[in-house]
Amino acid sequence: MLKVEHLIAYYGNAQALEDISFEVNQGEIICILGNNGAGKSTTLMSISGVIRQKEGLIEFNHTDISKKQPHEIVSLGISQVPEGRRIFPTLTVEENLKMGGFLKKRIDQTKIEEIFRLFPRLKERRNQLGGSLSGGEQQMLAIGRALISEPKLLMLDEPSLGLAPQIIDMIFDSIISLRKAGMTILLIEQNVELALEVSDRAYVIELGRTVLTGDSETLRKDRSIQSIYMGQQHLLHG
Amino acid sequence: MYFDIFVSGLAVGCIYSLIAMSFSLIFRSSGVLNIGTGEFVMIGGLVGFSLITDGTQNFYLVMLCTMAIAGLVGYLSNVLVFHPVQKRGGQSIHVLIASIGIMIILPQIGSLIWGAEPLSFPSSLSAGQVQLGSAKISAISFSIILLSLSIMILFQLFFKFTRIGQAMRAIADDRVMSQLLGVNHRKYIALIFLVAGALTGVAGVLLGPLYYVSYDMGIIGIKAFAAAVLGGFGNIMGAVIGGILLGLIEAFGGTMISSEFRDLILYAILILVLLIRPAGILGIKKRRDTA
Repeated sequence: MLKVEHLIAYYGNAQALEDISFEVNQGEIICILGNNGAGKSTTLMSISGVIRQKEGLIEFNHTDISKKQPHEIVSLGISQVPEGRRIFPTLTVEENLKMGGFLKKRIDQTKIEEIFRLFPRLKERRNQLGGSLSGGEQQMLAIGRALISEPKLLMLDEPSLGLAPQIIDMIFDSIISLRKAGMTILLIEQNVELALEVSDRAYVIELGRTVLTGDSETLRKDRSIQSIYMGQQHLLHG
Repeated sequence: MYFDIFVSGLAVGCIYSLIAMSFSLIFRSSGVLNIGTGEFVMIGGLVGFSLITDGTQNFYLVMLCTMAIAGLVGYLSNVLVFHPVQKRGGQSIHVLIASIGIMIILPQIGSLIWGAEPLSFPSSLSAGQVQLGSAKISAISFSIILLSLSIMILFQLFFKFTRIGQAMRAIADDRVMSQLLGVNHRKYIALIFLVAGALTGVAGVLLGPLYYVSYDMGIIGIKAFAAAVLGGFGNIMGAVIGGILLGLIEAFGGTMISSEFRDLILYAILILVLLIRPAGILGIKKRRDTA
């Protein structure tokens, strides 16, 4: 479905990605692991078309999307929930959700009700401003907002960041139920244990390069790989 | 007498509000501090003068045409100047210099076309009174207040209830996120420049019957900028409040304390307010425009 080959990207004058290659197939959950600053978020922003200075191949359903504008990429069916959720603080919960369906022009109210069923907390707060929500509620809203456009590929950047353990469980339960419904997911996650538990395959990137790939199951068992490539994260969660 | 001062202060204040809204709309959506905004007011005033003396006597038609022309000037300022400067990596300081360029170039063009003399709108427009209960107020002040307030209310409704209005608020909150949801922000920022230009154009035409119009009237933009900062820069409601407040302070300060030191009083109060509330009355909303 998504194929990235030898992706190089620049952030201002600095080269942020040196050589990133990976593939996501229909129905898979793929996770990308790596330390802070390894280039995980830059990879997602490059796929979404926000970062323009890049070389290499980005193919979605056999179409080259590396030169396309962000709005064209969204309309092809790639949605991103960025790091830090980026809820519109001065828009209400419902307005935030409606923005998720911006390209649809007419928003189907049943679609919004569907999100409210997935995250009932959002329904209670539908008229509250986005900026007044807790971190967990913002994450639910961010995922809900990305789902309104009915994407083929959902990219999640650090969905567990800064959240309490029960909320993390809840978010990951919803990720698992999305996958059961047939959603293809590209996941970036600092919590290695959790990421390897929900994903099918994983890629490890380091200093802007893909350095390792494998079955999540296999990687989970191989503790030495974890401690080499994923630093102290493993010590904290293992 | 207090009522008269109040009405004329409110009328001028409403005009400041319209211009301040233009400052805030552009800044909040695109990050451009367009210090040349007042020159769009000048274009509006002078175009309005030409239309009303050589064209139609219908003031509303003149207003609509002026909105269209000033809107076009606003749109072109983005397409020809601000967007290219930003796209080539210009920082806010470079954009500011570009807007100072506009502030200097446009009046010169204005004086080439309309000359250096101040021009008066037909006196029929500024005469006349409206009976309001037991009080009589000047018809032009009444129209200005009514028109400006309607425009401001329409704007609030547009931002609250339309798809495009919501997208514009989303761009103002977080440009990159709006892109990630499929908003072609460039298109909407261009549209905001058009709308902001139209707002200043109306302000120019409304000022005409109140004072006079001339190539150097764009200096009013500085007062409107102060109004926008007073209300909370980038905040549309703040721009409305700041403008009206500035008009009232000016009217009461000028008539009751000293007309000679009107501006001194005005800016002293402005600085005082900013010392107490540095972010303005309603505060500044944060913008986010990086990945």
